[in-house]
Amino acid sequence: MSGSGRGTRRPISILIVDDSSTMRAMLKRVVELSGIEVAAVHEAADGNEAIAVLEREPVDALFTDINMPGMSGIDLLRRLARDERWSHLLRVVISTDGSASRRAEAGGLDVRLYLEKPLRPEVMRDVLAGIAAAHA
Amino acid sequence: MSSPGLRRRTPEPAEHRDALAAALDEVAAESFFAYVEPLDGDVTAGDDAWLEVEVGFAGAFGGALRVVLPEPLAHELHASFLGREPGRTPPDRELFDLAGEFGNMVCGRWLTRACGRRRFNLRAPLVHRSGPPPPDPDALCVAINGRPAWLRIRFEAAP
Repeated sequence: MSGSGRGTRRPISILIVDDSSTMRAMLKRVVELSGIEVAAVHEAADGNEAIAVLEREPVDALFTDINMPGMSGIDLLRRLARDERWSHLLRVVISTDGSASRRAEAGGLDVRLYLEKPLRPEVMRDVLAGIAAAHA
Repeated sequence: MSSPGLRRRTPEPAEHRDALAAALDEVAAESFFAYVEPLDGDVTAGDDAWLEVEVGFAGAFGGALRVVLPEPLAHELHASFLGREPGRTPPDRELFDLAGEFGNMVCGRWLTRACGRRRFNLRAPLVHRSGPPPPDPDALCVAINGRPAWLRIRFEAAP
């Protein structure tokens, strides 16, 4: 967590990965209303699009769904786990699948938090605040 | 590897009715700020246009959840999900996506409770305009924000 100086807050960059454009819009709105300083909010509709964004943009935190056509969230997380370039990336899952075995699978892929849909906006806001504090 | 003694039983929709109702309550309240009540009257009453959502699932058991809801309800859910003022008619692309995500959340929440530790997979929701839902004793008929909604689980025969 290197900042530009002690006590200096570096705005975070976020990538939201979900095949539902409505879900992405809701999460983006929560970010905007959170009052947390954010450098950029990127979007992707599946794992392949997410990789393309990560290849060209600096991203600090990834919020990904699991069940998506194309590259699933689990396949995306496997890909990221194999690549040192994204070892710094904080990974959060937001999925309707809250089964214990899926949570365990994600936990083995460096996922920091596993949030279940339906997701209360205030939960997302609190998670963002925690991530922003870690980047302070 | 399977033997007749280990063959899985295909669940009946009625066994999951209460769990589906609980999942619907949670999704409606937590993400859509909507309330679910028992339906007082006929689910097919009224002349609204309807949307039908189908979410396929596979895992401990396979099948699909169908959700049929009137378009004005989908408009309300769209506005509340995104924190917008009600009364605006969203484009079809947004409306269908919202309806699909609603069905996806209800199906996922129900399966998370129903499957316990076992994982499951959801297929991308299929959404289209439809007529009013058919009479079906296995369907869950409720009112969401005072408007009717119809949900039905279909299980595929266990292998």
